[in-house]
Amino acid sequence: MKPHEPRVYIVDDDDAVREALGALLGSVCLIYQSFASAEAFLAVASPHMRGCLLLDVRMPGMSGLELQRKLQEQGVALQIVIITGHGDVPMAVRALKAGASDFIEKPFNEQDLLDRIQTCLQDDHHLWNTRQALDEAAARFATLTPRERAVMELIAVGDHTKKIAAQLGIQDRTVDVHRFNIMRKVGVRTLAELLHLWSAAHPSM
Amino acid sequence: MKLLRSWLAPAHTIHRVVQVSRRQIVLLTLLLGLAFSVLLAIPFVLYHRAESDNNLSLLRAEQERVIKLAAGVIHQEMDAVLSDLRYLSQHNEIRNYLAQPNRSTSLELAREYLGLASQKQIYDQVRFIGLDGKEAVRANFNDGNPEIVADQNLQDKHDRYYFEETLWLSPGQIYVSPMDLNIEQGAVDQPPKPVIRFAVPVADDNGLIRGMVVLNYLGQRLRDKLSALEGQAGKIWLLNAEGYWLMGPTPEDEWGFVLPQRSQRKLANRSPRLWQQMEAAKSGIHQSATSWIHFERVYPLGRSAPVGVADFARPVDADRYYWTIAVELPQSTLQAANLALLKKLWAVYGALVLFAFLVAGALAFVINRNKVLAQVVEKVVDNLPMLIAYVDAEQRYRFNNMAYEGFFGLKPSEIYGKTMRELLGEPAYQAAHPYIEQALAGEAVTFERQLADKGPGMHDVVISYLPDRSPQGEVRGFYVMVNDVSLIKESERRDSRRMLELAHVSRLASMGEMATEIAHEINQPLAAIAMYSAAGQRILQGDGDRSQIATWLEAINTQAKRAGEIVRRVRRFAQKGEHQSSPVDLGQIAREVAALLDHEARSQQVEIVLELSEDLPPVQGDHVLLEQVVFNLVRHALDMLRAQTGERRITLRTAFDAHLVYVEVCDTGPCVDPALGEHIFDSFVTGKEGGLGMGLTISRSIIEAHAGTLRYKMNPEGGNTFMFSLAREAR
Repeated sequence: MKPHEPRVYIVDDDDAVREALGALLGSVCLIYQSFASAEAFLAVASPHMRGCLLLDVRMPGMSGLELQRKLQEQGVALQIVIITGHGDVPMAVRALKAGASDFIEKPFNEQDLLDRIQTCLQDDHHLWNTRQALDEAAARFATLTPRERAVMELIAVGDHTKKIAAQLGIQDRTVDVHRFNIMRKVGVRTLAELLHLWSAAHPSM
Repeated sequence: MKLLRSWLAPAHTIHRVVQVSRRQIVLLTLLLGLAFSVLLAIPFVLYHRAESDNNLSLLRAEQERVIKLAAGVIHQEMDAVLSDLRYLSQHNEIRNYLAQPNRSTSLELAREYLGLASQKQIYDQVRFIGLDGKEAVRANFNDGNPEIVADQNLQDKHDRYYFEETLWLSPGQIYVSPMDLNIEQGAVDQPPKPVIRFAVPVADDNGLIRGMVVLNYLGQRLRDKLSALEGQAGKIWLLNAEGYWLMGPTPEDEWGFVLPQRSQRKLANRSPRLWQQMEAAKSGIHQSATSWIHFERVYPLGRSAPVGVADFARPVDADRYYWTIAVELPQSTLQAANLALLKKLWAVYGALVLFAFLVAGALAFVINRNKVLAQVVEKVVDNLPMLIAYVDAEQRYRFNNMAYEGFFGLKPSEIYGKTMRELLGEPAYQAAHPYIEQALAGEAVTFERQLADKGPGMHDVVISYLPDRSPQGEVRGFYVMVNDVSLIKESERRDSRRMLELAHVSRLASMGEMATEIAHEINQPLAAIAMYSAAGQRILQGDGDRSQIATWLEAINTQAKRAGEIVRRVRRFAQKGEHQSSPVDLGQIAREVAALLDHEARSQQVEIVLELSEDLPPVQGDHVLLEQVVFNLVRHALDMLRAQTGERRITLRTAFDAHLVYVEVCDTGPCVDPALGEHIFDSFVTGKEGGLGMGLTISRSIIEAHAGTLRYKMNPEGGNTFMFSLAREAR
């Protein structure tokens, strides 16, 4: 599935604030989409969404924090900027702990807001790029033969060729051939590159 | 007994404080009792007088009757004697004797006389006396043993006055001697024997007088018959023409003219005035110190002879032969009768007087009690700290208590008769006039107003007019009660001021609690404004689509107004300001409060629903205070909903009927602790955490100050409802 175009999502129950935000984002040529309630946004949310979510914490019905939790459950990985009112800092802290990227207090400096949105969009970009590279690496590792995969796992824990050969009961030379093949399949030239890619594609290990 | 008690105790409660004066009751009892006794005595005196007069006249009548009877007896007796005498002068035996006077004829005659004497028993002696004065034939009664007197015992009577008197008479004439005592052989018989001698000349067939028949009539018989008549009327006297007693007050008074030792015993000596009266008149009444005497002269021989009888013998000098019958009634008899009457009357009178004193006692008690009761009531009425008066139908004062003097400076006696217009003055009278009209129409009215006293002071007073109706239902006037409530009013004003201050403090506290919310809410339009303007700036600096700027400016304007509205609302709510009464639209208040609390409600995920009735009539009141009440109620509901996990809704409802306007604040929150009950409105009683417990108290104070009511009830389907009602503004 192809990810969506990155954009800015606005969820705020106050019409004026919502429209003003739209006007501001529009004036700097950002693509945005507005929602009047958390429920409305949740109805269209999908893990393929990319970009930044401007979320008002205080709303009738579902609150911002609740929406944040539900999005995480659904695997929607958007950069979230919490908009708080005066004196809502404790709530903002809770939102940050729950994984929000940033928070901004009303009334805000519009440049400040735009900067934060830019940062979030860049982060989102990086995230998506990294995720793509990792996905490719994982796909390459998936092409290894079982014997090559076993060799790779031992390389990853830092064992030398002789030790690997002894463990697997094969010749030293055969290990080197497997390593050559692995590096060719994965498309890296140095051992350091291979190890980095492996650890990135296998964060659990 | 019950009746008596109810009569004696008409006042049920106040009579316990009444102390009657025993001394006054005793004095009044004596006075009244005496007066009653005197009044009662009058009929008794009159009755006594009439009764004794009656007694007297009865006795007099009795005396008269006795006298008449006595006269009748005398006449009857004398007539009988005269009749006998006439017979004796002509019967055969005397004729035979006179024709042939011998032993045989004289014996015949004697037997005849004996028969007469023994039959009649009223003659002591029956005799024939010859012209020589010797008794020829004589029969004696001899005190019940009649006998013919033997010849040798016959006496010569030629010297006796009756013989001499008769000798002069012609046939047809009768001599009657006065009544005196019989003298036998020259001495008065003992016991005295009263006699009257009747004598008639007797002629023979040739017409020659040959002698006389003499009858000695026993006077005692007449006296006995008369005595038998004596009775109630008194003692009967019989007096001869000289005033000597033939029958007297005592036997010793009798026969004064016969017995020399009694020659002074005559009426003229004993009672000269009575004697004069008797000599002057044939009958009369004499009253002496000791007796009542009724007398009448009787002519015993004075009967006229039967007409047409030629040789009818008549007594001579019959018109000069008289006695006087008198009946003597001693005064003591009369007095005794009167005394008996008096005794009876006194007994009855005594009983009546006793009763009169009892009545007087009761009356005195009631009078004194009522007097003291009246004094107590008067004292209470005079000393009550209020004006009390009675005004008649012409609006003139008929009664005022002493409080009027303190208020108007006029004594009640000076106010009496004045009209209300005169006393109150024109402006105050005009103000009271509609109420006076109402009272005179028979309706009790109470109203409040300010009244000026004699000085410069003004008093807040509550005036009541209470109509007074006659038993026929017609209004005769009304009672006026004026209660000075200045102190209460002042205290009320103080309370009201304190309430207002408290309400203001409470409002400020509410604002403080809401500061975050207010800031929050005001930040919304500010943020919007900031972003619109920033967007505009960027467009102007760059080369974006400028067509949107106009829209944004309009939006900015709107949001600036919105912020202004919030500020205005908050300021208005928090203001101290002048509190004034004006028509208030509770619907508008509901809307404003909903707007004021909208943000807080949202942040709590509470929905505020307005169910406002259209055409809600205004109420009279203070806008700020009434808004505070609705605010407090909604805020309280918000607090109650904090713990609610289910549906969170507050419904603001208005309604009205003919008299009242209602506002309801319903929530879906957990119910107030039932143990709190009505205490929910008390200060510092709070069902929620962190609550000051003032909001509901202040709300209730405000509603009560507006003469309304604030109530709490539990919704049947859960949740709480606070409802207040206020009177519709008068049109």
